[in-house]
Amino acid sequence: MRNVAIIGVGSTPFGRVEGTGIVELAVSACREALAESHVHRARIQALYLGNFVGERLVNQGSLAALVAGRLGLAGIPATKVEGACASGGIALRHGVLGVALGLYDFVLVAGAEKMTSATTPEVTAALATAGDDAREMRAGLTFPGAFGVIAREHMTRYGTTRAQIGLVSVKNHAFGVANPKAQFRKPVTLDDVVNSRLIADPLRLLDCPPISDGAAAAVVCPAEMARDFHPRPIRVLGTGHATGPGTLWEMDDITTFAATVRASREAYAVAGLTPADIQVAEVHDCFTIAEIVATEDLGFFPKGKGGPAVEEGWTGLEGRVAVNPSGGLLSKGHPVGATGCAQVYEVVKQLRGEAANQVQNAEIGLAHNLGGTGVVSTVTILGRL
Amino acid sequence: MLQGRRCGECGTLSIDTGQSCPACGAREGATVPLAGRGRLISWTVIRVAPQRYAAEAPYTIGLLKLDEGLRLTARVEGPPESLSPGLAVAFASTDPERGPIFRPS
Repeated sequence: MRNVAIIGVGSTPFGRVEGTGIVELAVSACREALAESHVHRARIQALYLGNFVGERLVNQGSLAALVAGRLGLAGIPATKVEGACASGGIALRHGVLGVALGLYDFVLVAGAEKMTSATTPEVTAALATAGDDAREMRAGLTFPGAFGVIAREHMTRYGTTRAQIGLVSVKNHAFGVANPKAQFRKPVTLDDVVNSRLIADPLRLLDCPPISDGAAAAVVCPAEMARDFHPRPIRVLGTGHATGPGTLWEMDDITTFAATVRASREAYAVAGLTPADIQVAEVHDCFTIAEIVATEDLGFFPKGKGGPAVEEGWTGLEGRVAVNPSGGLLSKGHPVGATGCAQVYEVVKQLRGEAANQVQNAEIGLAHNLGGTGVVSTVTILGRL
Repeated sequence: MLQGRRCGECGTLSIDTGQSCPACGAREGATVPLAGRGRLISWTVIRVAPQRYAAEAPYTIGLLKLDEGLRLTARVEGPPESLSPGLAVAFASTDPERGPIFRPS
């Protein structure tokens, strides 16, 4: 296997992007990544593109081929990847594998989603397709609902408090203020969170991410070629991709996602690193409680200690590991198919020293992407080359 | 009556009647009657529902553990304020679309 590096990244702003369709969003992020990489388009050999609900919400299939065509890349193999909200992370993993295995030298990876043109009930129903309809969702469960069930169990079992859960939202919104790509750029208080409208008890509006449009992209190549294209290439130290149960009732313990644990073990093993080596992490905070669960499953804190860790500031910029300094899904936004690539975009910026909320001397970072209630997860560990 | 499925290969009891075993994927299994009694593990009140059930919100969805040891996700009727972890629940009825429905016992 060859070592792989990221030599260019791009991202649209996240939020409500009026007048721009899903293809244009993806093309915009890809153009930025290609421009940064200085790779001529004629050298791009494949495209992997993550997208989850484009067919349902904006009636657009064939997305990877259409994006390739609009970039002047017609002819190359272009593959759309769907793994619910982990679509972008899986797309990146496949691009990295293509280069690592020597199939390609230059691969473009992207994720895109257009959600704000649909109504909230339409979006809720579309996202619910990530669940197992016949065996669980048909009861009327939603994703906020599933994470509400998980939050209550975490509180019952570990004594995690409503305030600790809410502080995830406070932290991530505070980070979003400085991020020019973020959808929400206003701070919120704990009072704002715990008094916001109930969505799925005990989770409230400010425990949930916004509905977003956006796209992000990256160009990957063999690490040995990387310095010819970017002065600060970022090495892919390890990736992991794993699946888990598709329903709450099949999970032995609903306060842990087996897919995250498995994917992170793979990524740590390949990288030869441990959780203590990670200085900055973009984790899948699709709800406040999801960040707490992720920081435990990724091994940053013992099970049940993710809540106190937030309260103690251990996930802040000066903490043991800075978690979601981009603002995370909660504040930066969650265009679901784009999220996995956007997390990698943010970690790359951190490791280059170009981030809005810069972690001092960040050398090793991690991106964690989750689909459904843990039906699939990817973990990507990046470091300075 | 509430029914479960006993896997013919690994013996796992599940609510998954008519489908393969969620533990091992085997297709062989026998339908077994369930007493329909159990405990509430955790729950949520859905206030923003998917389109098809929008008119029914708010409603409660619980993760339950039945006395036979298997778990399922189901609607739980009754006032949400009365719910607590470990609360005894009983099977009330089966809805063709929504699946089994429980209530505090």
